[in-house]
Amino acid sequence: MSRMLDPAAAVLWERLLRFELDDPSAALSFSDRLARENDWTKEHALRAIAEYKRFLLLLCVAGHPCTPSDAVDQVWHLHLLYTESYWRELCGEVLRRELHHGPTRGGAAEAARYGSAYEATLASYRRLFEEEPPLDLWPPARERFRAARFVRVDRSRYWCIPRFSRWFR
Amino acid sequence: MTLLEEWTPAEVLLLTDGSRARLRPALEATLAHLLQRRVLRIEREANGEASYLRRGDAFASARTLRHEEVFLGPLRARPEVRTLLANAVQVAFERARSAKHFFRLVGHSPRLAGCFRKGFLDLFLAYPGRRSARGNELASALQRELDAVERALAEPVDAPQLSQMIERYAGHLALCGAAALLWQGAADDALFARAERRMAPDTSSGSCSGAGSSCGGDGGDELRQEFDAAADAAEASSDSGSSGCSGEGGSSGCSGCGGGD
Repeated sequence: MSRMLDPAAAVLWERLLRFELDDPSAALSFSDRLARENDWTKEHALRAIAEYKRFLLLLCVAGHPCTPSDAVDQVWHLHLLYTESYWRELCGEVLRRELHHGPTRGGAAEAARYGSAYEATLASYRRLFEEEPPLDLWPPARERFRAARFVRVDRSRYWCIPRFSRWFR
Repeated sequence: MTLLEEWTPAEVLLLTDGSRARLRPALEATLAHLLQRRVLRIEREANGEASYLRRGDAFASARTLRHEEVFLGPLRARPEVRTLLANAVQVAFERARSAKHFFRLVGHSPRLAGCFRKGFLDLFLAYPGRRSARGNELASALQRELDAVERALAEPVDAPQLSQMIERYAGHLALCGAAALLWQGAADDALFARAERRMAPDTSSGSCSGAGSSCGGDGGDELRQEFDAAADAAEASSDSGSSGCSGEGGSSGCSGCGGGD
């Protein structure tokens, strides 16, 4: 872990590391659901959760607005549904502050604002953790904010077939 | 030193059972073997509600094999990472992909070099194919050692003897039908090294015997149940379970989200 952390931040990081999102007694745990809803492997879901914890630390200590990668944002979205874990345990006991999620209001100005916040987040990540953010979970801003159109699909009723252009990537 | 002490349980399984070797006992034994060698360790929460897998003292220095990466890989990236035992087991199944794929990884071990024939006919047989003369010889020797361990487990043994067997053969006990013993004492940081201490109450009450018996702390039973539940989940269809919520449900979709500063 980084030597850049002051003692208070180090204590917070320790609490975050010990914070468990999965209920060991649940048949469908948080990470199971995260993996399933995003079509990720379990291992990828667990790595995304680990990056979510790093992002939470950045939010608390970076000193500037932070924007997550899409993968980390998916963890955040799902965690917000687990209200007891999010509000009571994470915000109340671990972070000891309220942490609100702010979706974009759209438009060019917002896009620019989130773009620069994302760049700043990546820079703070490198400084604080003294390593490069993993590319598959923290892609460059250009990739992070590329045009995308997500929808919910019931895969028991529909097939998903990649567009032709994706076959040659 | 016996062959069993040198070989990993998955190598033994591949050589003795060939294409009939099953994934689940192989993974269970592989995990127990890594715990025994202190490459990994299990950490239990004080309230006993959760067990975590994390790096052991020998993680950095141990010589490990490719198939062991199903457990080790996720812990390589960062030393601070600890994974719920159930999640680690599920990831191991995921990384193993199938018995066929896992045992192909096992087959890369230098100890198995020359143990299977590479003739034209073998191309058409299920992996790993037919054993060579050297493979037959080693398989027989390993089977004899396994039988000896199994016989020893069937006899009444005192706690120190049992502790010694766990120390020497922990990873291989699953192959002798004594998987319950694998997990005995696993709640401690130093794992099998402390099995003796955990079994202390049994010393006064006589001895325990029988393959698959579990004398000593109940932590081992709980850990085994955790392993089994996770293995069941990994083997079950990934489409099981609903996405239902209780209370107020909601959905959101946003591109670009920011947090507070």
